[in-house]
This record gives sequence, structure tokens and C-alpha cells, in this order.
Amino acid sequence: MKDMAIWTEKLVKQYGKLKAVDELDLHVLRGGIYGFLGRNGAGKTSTIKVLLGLTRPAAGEAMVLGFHTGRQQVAILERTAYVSETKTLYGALTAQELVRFTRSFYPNWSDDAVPKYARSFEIPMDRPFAKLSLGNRTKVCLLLALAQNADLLILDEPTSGLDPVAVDEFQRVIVEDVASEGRTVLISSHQLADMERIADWVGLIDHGRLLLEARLDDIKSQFRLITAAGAALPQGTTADIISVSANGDFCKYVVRQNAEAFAAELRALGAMITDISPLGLREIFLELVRKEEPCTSGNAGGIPAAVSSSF
Amino acid sequence: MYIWKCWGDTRSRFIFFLIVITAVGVFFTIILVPIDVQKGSVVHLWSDVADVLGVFCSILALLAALSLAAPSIGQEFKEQTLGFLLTRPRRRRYWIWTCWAVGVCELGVVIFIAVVATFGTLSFVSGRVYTWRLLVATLPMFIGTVAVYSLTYLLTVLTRSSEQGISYGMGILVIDLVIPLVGLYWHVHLFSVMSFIIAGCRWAASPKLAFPLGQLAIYAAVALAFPLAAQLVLERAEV
Repeated sequence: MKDMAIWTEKLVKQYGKLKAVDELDLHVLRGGIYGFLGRNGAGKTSTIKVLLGLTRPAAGEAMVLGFHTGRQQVAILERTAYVSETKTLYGALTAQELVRFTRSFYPNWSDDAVPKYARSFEIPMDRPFAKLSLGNRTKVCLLLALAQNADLLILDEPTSGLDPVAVDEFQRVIVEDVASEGRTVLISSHQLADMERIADWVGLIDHGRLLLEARLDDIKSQFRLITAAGAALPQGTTADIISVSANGDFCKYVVRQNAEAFAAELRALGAMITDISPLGLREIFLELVRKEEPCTSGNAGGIPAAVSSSF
Repeated sequence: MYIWKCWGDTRSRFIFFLIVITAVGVFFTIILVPIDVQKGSVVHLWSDVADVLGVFCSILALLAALSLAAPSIGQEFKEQTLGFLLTRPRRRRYWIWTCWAVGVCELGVVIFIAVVATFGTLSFVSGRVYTWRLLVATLPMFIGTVAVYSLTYLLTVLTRSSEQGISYGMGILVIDLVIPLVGLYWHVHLFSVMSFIIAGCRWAASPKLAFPLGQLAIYAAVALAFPLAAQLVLERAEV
């Protein structure tokens, strides 16, 4: 577990009867960029709030940088920079005053980083936060997080409101200034194209459950969509079959690896293979969260286990 | 730096009440001194000035307590900045006690300056030098107003709203002001912050009266119990 920046085991967060996080097993390795992906309301922010000690889990365990979230919250917060989904800071304070306010809490604070990122993000440092546009507010939040020199950055929807130029600059900074120094970044987002550009690992969450956790390179090189036609085809998921969806006589299988071998098995069952195609992150995401005609139980519980065996 | 932020949230109210309370104390003293000196009664002079402090200044100080308690912590809820604050590396009790302590210091300064200015004026205008005993009058006033301040502070944390915190605090304060009147009507001695503060000021003017030490201890305990309760509320709060 030492090589993990974030580790959760059967984490549950409940709001009334709603399970926002449902037995989540998350594994974020140190020193990489982890894309925490999911639809709106999938449970991303709830998970992050549990990790930062803002809410308490109903069940399960969570460790951040080797510290227990319930018992060692201050130790976690000393080493973690966080940009919230809402991007709310003190409206009356200017960005410069917010810098002065925040720097007092962090011994590793980088004074050099402030003018550097203020310049590269083009932040108006002398205007009150409340009078800034959404994009500039986001930039101020990012500036405060980056200047902390934290071991772990947890960024919840960090590009919301940013223009394409700023998004590009943000991605450059994350890759060149943060990840290259061996620091860990967890980015919660549903901007799949952005994540595909910078993430090393992705975790896909829906209805509070982790549907997939894998290296992005593995997804690109190994994941395949197999379309087969035929009767009595297998309908269940296994460690290698991530999802199965039926559409008339056709079944679509998202296969983690050994696509050719699986296709051969289907042929042996009398199926006609119409297509074997590589998958991008977007296709994987849609396949996993798609709800039309699901012929699986939606339980991808075997997948994280398969992934975690690689740790 | 959180101290600086809390100070920034409340400094305009602090300055307002500092000026108003000091002005009221000084103004009434200047009016009373010639009247009482003409009567030739030093005891009256002491007693009247103590009443000015006990009634007029303490009502204003209680209003200051209500006004200073809510804005800083209430703003965290209103502007939804609590998530930002609670992800800074400090225990939650740090935020509660720091914010509370800033207001307590402001109240202390307001009351101390008002009392010193009032009795300073008394000494200057009457030509007599008064003893340290007068300064002790600040203690019941300070502890009493801090108790009201702490109650409003807790109510703000409980309701997660500065407006509601002040409203409920004001309601309780009105009841507290009515209590002595009810006590007078029924000829019974009932506890109230106002009567406690007035008793403290009168003790300063009349050495024969007993200092309300017991009440002082009770109100001091109450004043500390409320932020402690606020701490427990915030430590269990989900953001």
C-alpha cells in the first residue's frame, strides 16, 4: 500500500437512502495523473469529500498518502492541495489577499510559483474574487493549489469555465510541472478528451460504483469492442469481458484483453463476428455507463479485482 | 491569517460600537458631573456614572455582542467557503476558537476603552481621582456580553446562518431584558445578564455591595460552554 497515493476499500457514502458511493475500491498510484471519470452525480465529488474528511463514510476504509482519512485528517491536508467543484473562495478578498491567506497554512508554499502561474494563467491578482469571471475564479483556485507544492493534488472539475487556451495551459502545467516531479494528481472530470490527453490511469465511476480502473495505455492497446451475431451467446461479464450489451441479434462485448481468443470462442459457439475494433476512452465510457438494453447485471465487480491484482 | 480574515469581517462593526459606546459613556458623564457636583455628593456621582455604564453602555455592548458574533462564521456558511476553510490543514476546533477569540478580543477592547474613557472623563471633569476599583466594573460587563456573544455564535453555527443566529440571539436577549422586570413584579430575584452587569457596575460605585462573584463564575462557564458546543457541532458537520 506504500506505493498508493489513495487507497479505498469498500467505501460507502450514503445520503439518506441514496448510496452516493457504493463499496468503492479505488487505487491511485503515487506519481501519476489519475482521471476520475463519471457522469454528473456518479459519486466523484462524494468520494473526494470523504478522502478530504469533509464527510464521513458510512462504511469502508480510505487512506490518502498513507494516512487514514478519519483519524489523520490534518496530516492529509498538509500534503494535499484541493480545488473544489464549486470554486468558492472569499468574495471580498483579491487573488493576492487569498494567496497571503492560504500561504500561511503551508510550510512548503512556493512564493515563486505565484507570479509564475499568475502570469501563465493571466490572472488579475488585484480584483476581488467575487468580481472575477468563472474562468478566472477557477484559475485562482488552481494557482492556490499549485503553489502549495503538495504531494497530492485533488482537482474536482478543474477545467470548468476555462477557455481552450487556459485548458491547454492547465494541462501543460499538470504534466510538466507537477507530474514530472513525481507528485500525484487526481482529476475528477467528465471531459473525456481532456483526460485522454494527460491521464496515466483512469477510474470510471457510475452510481457510486467503480466500473473500471486501468492504465490509459492498456485501454488503448488492449481494449476491444467485439460485435457478434448469433443465438445463445454468453451474456455475463468476467474478468476480461467488461460489458455486454444486446441489440436485437447482435451482442457487443467490451473485452479487456485477448480479444482474438474471445472472438474464436464466440465463433466456436456459432457466432458470426462482424467487427473487432479498438476503443477510445469515450467509447469505453459510453459502453460502461450506457443503460439501453443492458443484458449484464451491471456488476463489473470483477474488473477492479483484476486490476488490483496487477498492483 | 485566519485572525486577520475574521478581523476584516468585523472591524467596521467593531469601530462603530467602539465609538458609539465610548461616546455614550463620556457624554452622560459630562452631563452628570456638574449636576452631582452641585449637589455636593460624590457618592451620587459614582453611583450615577455606574448606572450609565450599567444600563446604557451595557445595552449597547450586548448589541455589539450580537453584531460581532455572527458575521465571520456565518459568512463561511453563507458564501459556502466552509469547504475551502476545512480543507486547510488545521483541526476544525482551530477555526471555531480562533473566530470566537477575535470577537471576544474586540468586545474586550470596546468595553475596556468605554469604561476607561468614562471614568477618565469622570476624573478629569470632577477633579477627583478614582481608584482601580472602577475598572473592575468592566469584568461583569465583559463576561456578560461574552456570554451573549457566545450564545449568538453557537446559534449561528447551529442554524448555519448569520441572520438567523442574530435573530434568535436577539430574541433570547429580549427575554433576558424582560426577566428583571418580571422579577421586580413578583418580588423574586431572577438571573439575567443585564442585572448581573448592573450589579457589577454598582459594586464599583458602592463598596458596601457584594461583588457578584458567583454569577461571574456561572456566566464565564456559560461563555466557554457555547463555543465548546459550537466546536462539537462543527466537528460533526458534513460539508
